[in-house]
Amino acid sequence: MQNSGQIMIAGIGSPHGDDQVGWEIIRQIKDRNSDLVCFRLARTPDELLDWMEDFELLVICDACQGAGDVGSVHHWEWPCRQLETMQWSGTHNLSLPAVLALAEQLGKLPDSVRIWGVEVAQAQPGQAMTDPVMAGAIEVAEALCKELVLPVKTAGTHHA
Amino acid sequence: MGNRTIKVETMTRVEGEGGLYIRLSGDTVDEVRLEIYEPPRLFEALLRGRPLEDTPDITARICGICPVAYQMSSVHALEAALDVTVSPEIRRLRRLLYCGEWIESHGLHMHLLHAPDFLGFDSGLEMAKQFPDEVNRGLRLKKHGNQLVDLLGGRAIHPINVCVGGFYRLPKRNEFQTLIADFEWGLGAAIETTRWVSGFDFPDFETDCDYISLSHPDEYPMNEGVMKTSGGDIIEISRYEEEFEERQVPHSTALHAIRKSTGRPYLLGPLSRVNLNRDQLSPSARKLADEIGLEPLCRNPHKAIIARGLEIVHAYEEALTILRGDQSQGKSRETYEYKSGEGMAATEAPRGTLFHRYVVDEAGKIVEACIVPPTSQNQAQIEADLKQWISHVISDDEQETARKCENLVRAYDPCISCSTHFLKVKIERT
Repeated sequence: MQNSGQIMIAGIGSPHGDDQVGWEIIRQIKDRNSDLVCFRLARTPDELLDWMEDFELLVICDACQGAGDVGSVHHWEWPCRQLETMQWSGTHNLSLPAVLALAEQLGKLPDSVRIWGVEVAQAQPGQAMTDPVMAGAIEVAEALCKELVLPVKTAGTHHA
Repeated sequence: MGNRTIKVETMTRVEGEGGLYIRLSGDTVDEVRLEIYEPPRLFEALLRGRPLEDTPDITARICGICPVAYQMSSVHALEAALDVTVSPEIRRLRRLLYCGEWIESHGLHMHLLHAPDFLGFDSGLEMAKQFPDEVNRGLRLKKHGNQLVDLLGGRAIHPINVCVGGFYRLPKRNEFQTLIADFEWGLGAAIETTRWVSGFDFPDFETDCDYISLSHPDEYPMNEGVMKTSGGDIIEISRYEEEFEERQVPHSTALHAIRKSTGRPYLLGPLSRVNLNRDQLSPSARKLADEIGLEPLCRNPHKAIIARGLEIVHAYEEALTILRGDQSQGKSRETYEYKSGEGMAATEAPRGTLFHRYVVDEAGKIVEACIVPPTSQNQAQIEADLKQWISHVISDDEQETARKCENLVRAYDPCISCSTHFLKVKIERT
């Protein structure tokens, strides 16, 4: 396992519909393991610029569109050309690829950056996540715990 | 040169989405339209019937860059309706919160959005290759602003700690003190930034424009005051809607605004604030304005970047005064009784004066809401300035003409998300 103190897992999202998925993945992982890893919830990608500097591994969990069926899970390693051709949102043209490119340019980017995306359908205010997207969130959380060899609590503590 | 249309489909480095359409007959500008086409967001209707306590949190969602402004205007207006007077400590902390938003918003705009125009880059990313120290400095200033909003607002974006009467929770004294060292560095960096931008090569361009902002006898305007104009008029906030009229235009889903008394558009924002309140800037900011030779009434909209710099210096200096001061930890908020009534307030968002008016009933519900954001008020003036600017920059190279028009629009730092959402440029020659 990588020194967990050097890992930051950031979820990008909002409280609206499927756009919650980035935050839900963080919640799922926190429910499964201790606080050994630094977790962050972001609303816009540019927030990552404030936090990423002191870590070796940055894991970003976000909603995505245009990568597959709703609820499908996608995994990229930065740098990745495919990321730049996809549709991302972000304030002032600071989309996730733009933020990562800027951080790289400025020498702020951790050595390794992994991005997990779950294909979403809707981001309606007041709506819950759709079932396929929730299933995708759980799949990512489990995969991340396994990949990062994070200590896992008993299954009984899991909740959505 | 024949008739033609120039259109910029997607304008970059502004908040939100919209378009710019320019129609020319030879070198004569027939029409300029700032086309804001995103759907209206209907926040005023959304608030009706809801508990008044929901208002600061809901209106904060209008913008991710200036949520504090929406919270400040809403709580002040509601406190006016309920006859609530906040304590001097709460008032001071609200100014501190506003300092955070100004630092964050201006820091981002100056370094990543506007500076590339002067240095010949298409993006902040490109600029970062040649100016990494400056971009890093900008990001660090933005981070300080976010930290301050996080501390007082509970989180950096869409804060949730502001309430009618005060704050839900006051930070502890040591939480304030942890920021002092960073803010001391930030003050120096803000001064350096302002000197840097004042050395840019500014186009020789001035507009005949009515500058308007809040003004207060004792302080640089943020949370209260009267409306002051560069023509010497003073307008009480209670007369805001008598003097400023919002109008619908076919090409924009955001309302335009004019002064009823003059029938002309007007400009809000940092250049107006500095033009009208230079004497109230903090000592370092005032001294810096003199040092860099900023005109007493600066009429060049491109120099708004200098005004933003001066306001960041002011915000750091005022923030440091408050952070170092006595945090008496009195009560976090005033209590109040519901009563029916009407209240209005205007505060200074990073992009200009933001007016709110609410009618509430005896059960504490919102009956009527009116929100007038600065970007929508500035739209007509931006179009008027563009019309003048095009005659300076028109050429056969339409891409270059469009780029220069975008440069001017970015000088106003429009927030389309606030006005409704923003921007794409089209120049038509017929």
